[in-house]
Amino acid sequence: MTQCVLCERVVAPVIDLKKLLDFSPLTVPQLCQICQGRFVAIPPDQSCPKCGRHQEITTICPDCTQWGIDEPFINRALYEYNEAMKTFFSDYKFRGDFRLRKAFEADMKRAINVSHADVVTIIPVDEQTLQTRGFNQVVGLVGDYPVVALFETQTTNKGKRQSERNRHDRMTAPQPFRLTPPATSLIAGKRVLIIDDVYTTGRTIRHAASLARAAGASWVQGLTLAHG
Amino acid sequence: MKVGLMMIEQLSELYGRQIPSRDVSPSLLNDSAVCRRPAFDGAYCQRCGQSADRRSTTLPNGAIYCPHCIQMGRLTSNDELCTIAEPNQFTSRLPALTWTGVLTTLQAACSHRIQAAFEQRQDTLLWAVTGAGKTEMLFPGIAWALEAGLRVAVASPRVDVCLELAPRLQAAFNAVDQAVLYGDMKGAYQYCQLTICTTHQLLRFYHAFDVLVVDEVDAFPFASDPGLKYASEQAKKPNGALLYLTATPSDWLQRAARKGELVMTYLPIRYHGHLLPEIKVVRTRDWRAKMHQGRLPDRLVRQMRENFTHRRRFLLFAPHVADLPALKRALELTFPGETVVTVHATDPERHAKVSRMRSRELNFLVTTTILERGVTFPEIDVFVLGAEDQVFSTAALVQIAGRAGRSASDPDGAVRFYANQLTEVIKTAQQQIKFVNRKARRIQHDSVRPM
Ligand SMILES: [Zn+2]
Ligand SMILES: [Zn+2]
Ligand SMILES: [Zn+2]
Repeated sequence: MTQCVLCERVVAPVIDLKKLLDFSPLTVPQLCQICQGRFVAIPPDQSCPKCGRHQEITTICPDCTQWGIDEPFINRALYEYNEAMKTFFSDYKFRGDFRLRKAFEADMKRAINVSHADVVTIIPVDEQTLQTRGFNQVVGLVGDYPVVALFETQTTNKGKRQSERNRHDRMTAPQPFRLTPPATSLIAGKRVLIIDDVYTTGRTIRHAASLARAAGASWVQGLTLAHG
Repeated sequence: MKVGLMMIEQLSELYGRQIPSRDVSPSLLNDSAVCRRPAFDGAYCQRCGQSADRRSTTLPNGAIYCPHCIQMGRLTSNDELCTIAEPNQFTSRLPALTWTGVLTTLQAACSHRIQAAFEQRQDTLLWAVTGAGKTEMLFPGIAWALEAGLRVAVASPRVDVCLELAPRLQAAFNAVDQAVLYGDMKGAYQYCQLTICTTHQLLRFYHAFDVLVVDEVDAFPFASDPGLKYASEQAKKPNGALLYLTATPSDWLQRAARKGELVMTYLPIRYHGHLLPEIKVVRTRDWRAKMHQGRLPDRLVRQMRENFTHRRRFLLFAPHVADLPALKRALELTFPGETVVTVHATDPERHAKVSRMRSRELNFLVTTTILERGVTFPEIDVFVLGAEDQVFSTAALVQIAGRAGRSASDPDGAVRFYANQLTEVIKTAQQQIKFVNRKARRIQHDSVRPM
């Protein structure tokens, strides 16, 4: 018997005809249908090709044009950052309910697999946050998928939290990361996927991406659970 | 900013409380008055008494956390809870009670028993029927406690009940400092002799109260959360008095009373001296399917027609918000001249609709369980369509039935449950009402003789 990670209702395995036909194992979803229904998935063919924002068309969104056409970074986001997602992050990240990390694990792993990345890495959290929260929420989201630590935070004191800064502050924020000692040898000529929880302005994940590119990665993309 | 997320800066804010050390200013932590104890005893959370499942709650640093009371801020096995033993540092002004109302003879007798329980530091369950006027009955006992320099709290599972109680208690004890605590409140915690709070806030107290009253113990979430029961026992002093109030005692309360852990006291008569209207069950056949075809049970239609003829207003309860659109349509088809208004918990026009009913602009109101507590209308009948539905607990049904006959001018409203089956839940509700009415008759019989 499996219970919904968010509301503890009992969840039954999904019988998917396609999966029965190709003999893949039945998957038991982590969320019940009611909870799942509160989240809005972003189909890749209805999103901004650069940042992954949910939109009708597949042209570059206004926010992304600000970064400039030549800016090479591409991000894929799985869900809209709607009320349900906000509540999820407030319970998981800020309240610190570590159990909730499993809610989107399968989605995240599926997206990692289709990216065909050689190296999967995550955005680090600073030491102080790690101390109080007790876990890195991004590592939690991908479960047991092996991730490589390519980045570390440069300053121990962040000052204002990201959520307290305004858009302009965030867009012009200085590089918060540096490469970990083994990073360069791990990523030269490799496909690197950088995972973060939420894509907001794209500033943070772009900082990480530019470090990876400078270290010789052949391909760098982002994957975030939410966009908003 | 939420209460408890603020850093504790003053020693008095720790009197009789239990606050995780990370929320206490470092300058206070080493004060000799501050007592620190580990937040966990093995897998057991010391704040809510529930055990944490190691498999799912172990953090990468090896600590476990308590998912049961995480709403009050996450507590991990690396945390300590800080307390200063309750010093009862109050300057009492006499007399504490500024209320000038009068209790009925029965209310007065009951309030004497409550005061005696407080004085003897006894744990008591008061089974007071809906509309008994229980708040006023608490006044003499609370007045005694405040005058004796004791610390007192009145807690309810529901924020709206706390917000309704607070001004009444402030008016009744207007020289006494009062703190009102609930989840989304603004402002800081303050050490006061009288505290009114939600039962969740009791998780932040430790051996604080000499007298603790927990109202509506049969209400959500208290009834279904053993952590809150643990919290109320821990919030009072080991030699304090705990009074549970309920209109519909659940099984565990009745069991505790039978085992002698609680002294059971009854107030089976309403403030106006009349009995509770009893529940009459009318059998229906698959009312929901018929309703979706625009039809209603014949007996309900006849009853409603009779009510319209006699200008007798009523509440019609339905099990689910999802039932309301079809029910509204069926009612409009059956009674073309009538205004059909439906209301539910998250209805943005809820207050406007309730006041239209209150001002007698409406002949009836169709609603889900949300109006079961607190909202009262004089001179109404109560009908429940689909009383067999699992959404209705015994407590909810007794509360719904208790909406009828609330005023002295009209103590006898009709209560009809239209149900496909006579379920155990309905039977228990009927029995509870019959039981208190038997007790009430005995008291009425005794009280006509000279004392
Ligand atoms: Zn769910
Ligand atoms: Zn974009
Ligand atoms: Zn706990």
